Amino acid sequence: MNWAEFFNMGGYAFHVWTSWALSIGALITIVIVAKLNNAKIKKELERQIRREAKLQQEK
Amino acid sequence: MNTLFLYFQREWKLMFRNTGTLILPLIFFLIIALLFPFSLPAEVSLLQRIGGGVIWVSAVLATMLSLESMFQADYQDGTLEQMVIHHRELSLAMMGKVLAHWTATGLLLTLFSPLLCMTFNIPSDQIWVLFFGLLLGTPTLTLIGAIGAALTVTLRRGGVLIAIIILPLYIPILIFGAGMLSQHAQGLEIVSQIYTLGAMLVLALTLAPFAIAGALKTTIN
Amino acid sequence: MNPFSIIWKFLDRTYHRLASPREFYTIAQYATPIFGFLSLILIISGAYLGLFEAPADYQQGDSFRIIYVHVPAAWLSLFVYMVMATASAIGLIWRMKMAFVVAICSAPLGAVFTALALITGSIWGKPIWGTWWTWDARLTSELILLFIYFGVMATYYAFEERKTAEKAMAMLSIVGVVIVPIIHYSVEWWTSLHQGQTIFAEGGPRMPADMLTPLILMIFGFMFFYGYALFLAAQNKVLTQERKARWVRELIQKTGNQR
Repeated sequence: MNWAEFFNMGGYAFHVWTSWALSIGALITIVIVAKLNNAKIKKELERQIRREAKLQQEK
Repeated sequence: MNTLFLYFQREWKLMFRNTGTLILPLIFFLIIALLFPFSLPAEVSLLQRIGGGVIWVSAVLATMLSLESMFQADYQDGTLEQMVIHHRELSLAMMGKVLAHWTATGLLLTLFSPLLCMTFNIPSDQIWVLFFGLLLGTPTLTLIGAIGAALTVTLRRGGVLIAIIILPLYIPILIFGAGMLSQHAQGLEIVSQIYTLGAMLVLALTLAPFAIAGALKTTIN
Repeated sequence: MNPFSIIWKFLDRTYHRLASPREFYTIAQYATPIFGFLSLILIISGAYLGLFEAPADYQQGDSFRIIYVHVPAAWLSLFVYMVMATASAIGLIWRMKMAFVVAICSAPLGAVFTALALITGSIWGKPIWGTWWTWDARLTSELILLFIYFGVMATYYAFEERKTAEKAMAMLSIVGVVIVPIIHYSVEWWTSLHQGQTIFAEGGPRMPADMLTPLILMIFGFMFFYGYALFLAAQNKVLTQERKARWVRELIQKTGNQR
């Protein structure tokens, strides 16, 4: 079996590869969104902690 | 049982104090159903075939639209909160309330459905099938809908949310109610659908009051 | 001491550990990479076997390879709902905060799996049945399940106060558990009345092992992926919910210093 034949999927290339790409893409997107969210939350928390520390020092 | 009657009566008195709003769901039901002929090719046979389904969908929509007001007035003047806090038989009380609400929506529009059937040229033996189907199905619609109404009472714009929550849950009733009609049109037995609709009603009558009471207890605090 | 009481004690301890946000977060931190690693291995090996090694179907040719993403997604759409409803019940009955976190983080994941099952199903349907969509029982009930997921999420985000939102969402997902089977059977009844099951005839031969193995690998891969994504989302949720707690502050400062 050569690669061209493999990618052709017996004539069903469009259907098979779209389904696979969508599924794997969705899974990857879920992870990326979660990781980005995590970074954002941590950053915000950090900023808030720093701000509070500063306020305490000024007192 | 006493609680149930008491609340049924109370709801009735309150409803008849304002007849104008009482018949709004009915008018909505009639208008929705009569919109369909305008959007379809003017063929008597087509209307005859789809009329039952159209009336069922209109009944579902009219019931859904009336849900938002079910607890709204009592919530705004604080009565609902008192009921939730003090009442030991909250589920029974709410059942009385919901059933009274059904008489003004489901029952009323069931009574007027034969009139709509005539405008759709539905044959008279089928009118009876539709009538009894609605009579069995609409209380279930109101009971399930009341759960959604109870979950969203405290929200300022709960109407759209009720629709999203409740409409998917209405599908079984719609399938059996409208299915009964098409089955009868083909000259087949409809006993199994009547039993299924009855079973759903019994299930809703036993479980929904507790869900409604639970939902009210969580949202009102 | 009999073995049952040891098991019981262990479960009891884990349960109480899981109930505290801080312990839950720690456990999630350890579990996340394990779940992610397992799901990666399973999905890669499943994909390799499914795309390269499994023979083409004698009826459907190579198009049947969609099964390796379609069936896991469909399976997960129901599995996630069961997890969500169970977590909701635990949260309502034992007032366990973290159970609600699991439930609300599951809802969008379940919706994604349901949408994937629908989309891949209709892509698969096009070459095999010649149509993108038919009102078949399974397709229809899957679509309704998607709307129920949307309803659950919409309910959660409609409330301003978190505790009310959690409880309202939990109640709705439990109501859904009662109604989803009814919807499924009613839809099945409805389609069997209106159209024959000709397109969906399933009487084909049982799957041979070299076709079945990748499918099982993919299903487990998806399940571990769900665990992985759930823990990731739950960590975020716990961090936001507990942002005033001391342990969160210490945790943030610690990671900040490391940088």
